Amino acid sequence: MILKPPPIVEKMLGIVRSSTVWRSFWRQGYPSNDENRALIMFNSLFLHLHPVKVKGHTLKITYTWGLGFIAFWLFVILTITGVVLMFFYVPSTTRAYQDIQALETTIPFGIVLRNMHRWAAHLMVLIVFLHMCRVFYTGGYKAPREWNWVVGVNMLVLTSMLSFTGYLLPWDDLAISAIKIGSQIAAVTPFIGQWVRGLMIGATPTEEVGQNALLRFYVLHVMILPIVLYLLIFFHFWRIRKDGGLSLPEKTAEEPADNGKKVLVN
Amino acid sequence: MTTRDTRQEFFPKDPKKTYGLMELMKGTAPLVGKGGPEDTFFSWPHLLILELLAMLGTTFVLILLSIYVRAPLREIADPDKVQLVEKAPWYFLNIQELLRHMNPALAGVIIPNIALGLVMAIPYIDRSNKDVGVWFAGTKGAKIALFGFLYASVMMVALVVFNEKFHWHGGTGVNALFMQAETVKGITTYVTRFPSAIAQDIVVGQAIPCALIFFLSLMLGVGTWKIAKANTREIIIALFSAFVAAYFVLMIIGIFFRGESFSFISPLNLPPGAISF
Repeated sequence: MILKPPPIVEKMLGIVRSSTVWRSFWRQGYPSNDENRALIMFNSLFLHLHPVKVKGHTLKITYTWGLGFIAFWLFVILTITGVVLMFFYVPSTTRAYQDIQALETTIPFGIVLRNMHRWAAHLMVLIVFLHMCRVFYTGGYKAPREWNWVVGVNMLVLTSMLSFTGYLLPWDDLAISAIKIGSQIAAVTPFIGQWVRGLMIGATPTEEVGQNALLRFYVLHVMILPIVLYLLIFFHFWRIRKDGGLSLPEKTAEEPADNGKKVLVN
Repeated sequence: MTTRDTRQEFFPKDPKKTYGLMELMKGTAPLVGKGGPEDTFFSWPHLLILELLAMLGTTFVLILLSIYVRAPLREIADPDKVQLVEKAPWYFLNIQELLRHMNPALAGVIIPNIALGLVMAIPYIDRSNKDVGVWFAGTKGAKIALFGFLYASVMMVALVVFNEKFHWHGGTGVNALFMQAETVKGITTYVTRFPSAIAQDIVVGQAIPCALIFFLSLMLGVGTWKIAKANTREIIIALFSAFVAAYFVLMIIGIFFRGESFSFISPLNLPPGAISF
């Protein structure tokens, strides 16, 4: 049973909805008719990345599995939890580990916050990889979407770099072994190995991983890589629209209407 | 009787209407999008409700996971301490696994970059616009994908097991193939044939891995082309599936079959802390 609000409430709602403030915020009525459904997509900053209408095929869960959107949403969660974590963390070799311990023991919900950030990061790497597989196996990379595929592969690289730079920040045994392996790999880059290693961990060839590496990874993790990834995400989304939405089977896309049969004209 | 009159018998004119059906003709109708019956839906609510569900579902699963599973925090880092198990995060363990088997620059830098470059080049190699939006480009493509996946999985497991478990004349894996007998004062020992470590690295660390990767990929590509009569798209499906298989199989070996100093062991005997997440 749907409860109808009492007339006084309806009247008050009517006054609020016709007020100047309300109408300056919502430029159209509730999207219960086609006109408002179109208008809300034009008017809203957050919705205008979507087209007003989408093809039925792209709404099938078994076609996209929503992987791209889930990856994006995980990144939003990571941004939010990450910013909150920044309030409780100092990227110093003498403080970082204690800060994480304090986060787990003394800060309300600190442990859940850290767990969420950690698991979302792992999930995002996996989801982005699976999203790449989905796009590949459905032929979504084909013209005119070639460039968006290239951008997407670079976003996978950025995602794993973001995850890897964050891995160092707790400054525990797990972190140090990962960065040691990472710097060893960097050091064997042909011709420019020592330079790459130095760039990565801020150390001379004889120096070990230390404060410089932690600070570099921190700045990359909270500043440079997220900004680049957000730019690429919005380019990726914009480009989906420019390339005509999600990929579609040819039949749905441009099957001739007549099919050789007689059609009505005029 | 004129033609006009005959036609009026089929389509009698309704005097109340200002329009009527004139005639039927063959041709392409000027329909927008020429899509036949329209297959479009308003984003509000059809797309947005799916996005909302994905957001809520993801958030719910993540919060549940975060309440019940604790993120690891080991002992405080000490760059001078030698750790029993040193592992990269799981998504890089496939590269760390490669490092065990070949020249480090090849495994750590060159192969991953070439693989990424080739993946990025896919749309410029497969130029046909057929089969867009069809999973695996049909059942044949699905079979080819499965075959490519299994082929690379079997090959990866076989190669890793061979390189770790094949012992002969005191050598292990590929190195064992290059041992020769040396008799000094009646005592026969086996030594490596290579005159220097550099020569050994060039052959065992570089030439053999490169040749193996090249020929295994070539065999898969040519096999699907000649035997399965595959087109470009299907050949790439086979190769990409092999890449995905190699990525995951090597990763799983790295996670579950590598213990102390990355030695090859059974997952049942993993030392504490060997699983790095």
